[in-house]
Amino acid sequence: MQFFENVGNIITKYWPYFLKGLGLTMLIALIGTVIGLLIGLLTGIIRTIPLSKKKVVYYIQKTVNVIIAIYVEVFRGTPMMVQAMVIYWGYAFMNGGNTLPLIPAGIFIVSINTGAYMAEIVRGGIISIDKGQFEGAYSVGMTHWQAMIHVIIPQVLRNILPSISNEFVINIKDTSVLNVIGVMELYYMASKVQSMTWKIFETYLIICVMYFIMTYSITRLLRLCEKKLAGKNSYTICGSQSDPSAEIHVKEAE
Amino acid sequence: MKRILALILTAVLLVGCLASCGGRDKVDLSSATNLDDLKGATIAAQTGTFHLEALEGQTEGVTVKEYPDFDQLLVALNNGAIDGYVAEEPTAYAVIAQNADLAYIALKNNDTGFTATDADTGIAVAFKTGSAYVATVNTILAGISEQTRAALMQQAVALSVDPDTVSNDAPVLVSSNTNTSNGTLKIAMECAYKPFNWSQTTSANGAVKIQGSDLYANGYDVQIAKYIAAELGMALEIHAVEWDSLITGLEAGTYDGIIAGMSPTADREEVVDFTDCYYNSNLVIIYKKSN
Repeated sequence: MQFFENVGNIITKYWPYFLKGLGLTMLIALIGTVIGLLIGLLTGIIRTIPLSKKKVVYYIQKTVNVIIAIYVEVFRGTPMMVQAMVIYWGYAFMNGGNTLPLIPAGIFIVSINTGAYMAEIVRGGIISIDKGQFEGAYSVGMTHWQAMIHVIIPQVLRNILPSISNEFVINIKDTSVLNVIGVMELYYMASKVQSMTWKIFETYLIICVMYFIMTYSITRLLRLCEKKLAGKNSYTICGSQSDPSAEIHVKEAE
Repeated sequence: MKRILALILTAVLLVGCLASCGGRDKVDLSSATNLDDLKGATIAAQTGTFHLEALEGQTEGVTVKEYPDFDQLLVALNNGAIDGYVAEEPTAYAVIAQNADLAYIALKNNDTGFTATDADTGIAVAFKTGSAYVATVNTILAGISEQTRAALMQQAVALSVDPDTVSNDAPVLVSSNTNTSNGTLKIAMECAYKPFNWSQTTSANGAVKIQGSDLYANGYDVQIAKYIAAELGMALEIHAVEWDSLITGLEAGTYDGIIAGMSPTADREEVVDFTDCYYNSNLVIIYKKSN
């Protein structure tokens, strides 16, 4: 059939470009998600520090919290495509036409965008941890930081893993908007191939399959991680987001 | 009983939906020779362009459709959603060279009130407002004769069919100046608008490497850009930029000029300076000869 012939021809001629685009999409999505998670953890820890009784420290904490809140609201409340245009061309206008290098710019945009979402996800994760965990940690003399690193965050990470994998999948798909500033990810490559071959349907169907393979394998991989983190059968899950009854039930042998 | 009734109703609704999508009376355009023969046909143009104004101003009894993306027009034509679409004449050459069942009819200035000026259909080089390049480039462009322009376009159309295959024809437009001591000329274009500018995978037929990419750019615009840069004694750098970012990039100073099949319309003239036109084309309607 003509259609399959076209698809075959496009793949045999342009596969290196598709592969390069796929690689860049994965790179930006992966680094963006990791940096976004770090931003989220950091802001989450800072925002949950109990307010100090000292006036000066109290106001510093308040200011920092307000700054974080503004960051989260602004970057969560505007489309990533718009952010990309504003940051990329804003930088060019302020620097006499010098533009940001494309790949770091792409990673930066995805990172701060993901960071804003992750901040809320991590905050939700921390809130969901039982109060007794904090009290226990403080009562043995741990500082807020120590309690977070050794007691709370490990549990938070396990609980928010489904949300992280969700963000990762979203990032893989959303890197496609970076084509507006010319980042050569998969969608950009497809639009170039499409303009060379004038075969829109065939070209986009190919990357459609490629995107699905990427997202599907990532979700499977992270599901495996979740299983691994759930641990042995005798492990008790505390404050699970996904299963409210998990707090009191010991996981039964399979 | 109720369940069966519901199922039947759903089926009827579905059939109704599908029928309303697919039903469009086909018009036989196989013997069309002028605009009047297009009566009853569905003709599309790109949203927000002069093409659309021209279509509405010059045709009668035609169903006008709009598409936001120029690339979609050809797809719509090929799958039967429309009977034809408005494009520039060189685009028609390139499209027809690759699709044998397509043909075109020119939209010409006439006494029914339709006029197209150079600002509407000509294409010019854009520079930053007040740029000293404009005057120099005008002199360079004036040195390219009508015949050379026509021959260059003909060559670009021929090459656009299979850009990666090396052609035996000598390039039409070559500058005698090989000195590039005057710096770099950064030119922005889409690299996705055959036959003016396109992307290809090899450097065949004098294509220029696209900055920061593995692809090469070629076409009418690229050859003009090469010639201008050579005449200015500068090295040429081609940047592939989305259409909407072209003028922004020029204003920011990221690029020195735009050579992208861009018409010097009044709106654009307000923010950038245009040279004289380096190609004058007609608007045409590309249509399918058989259904």
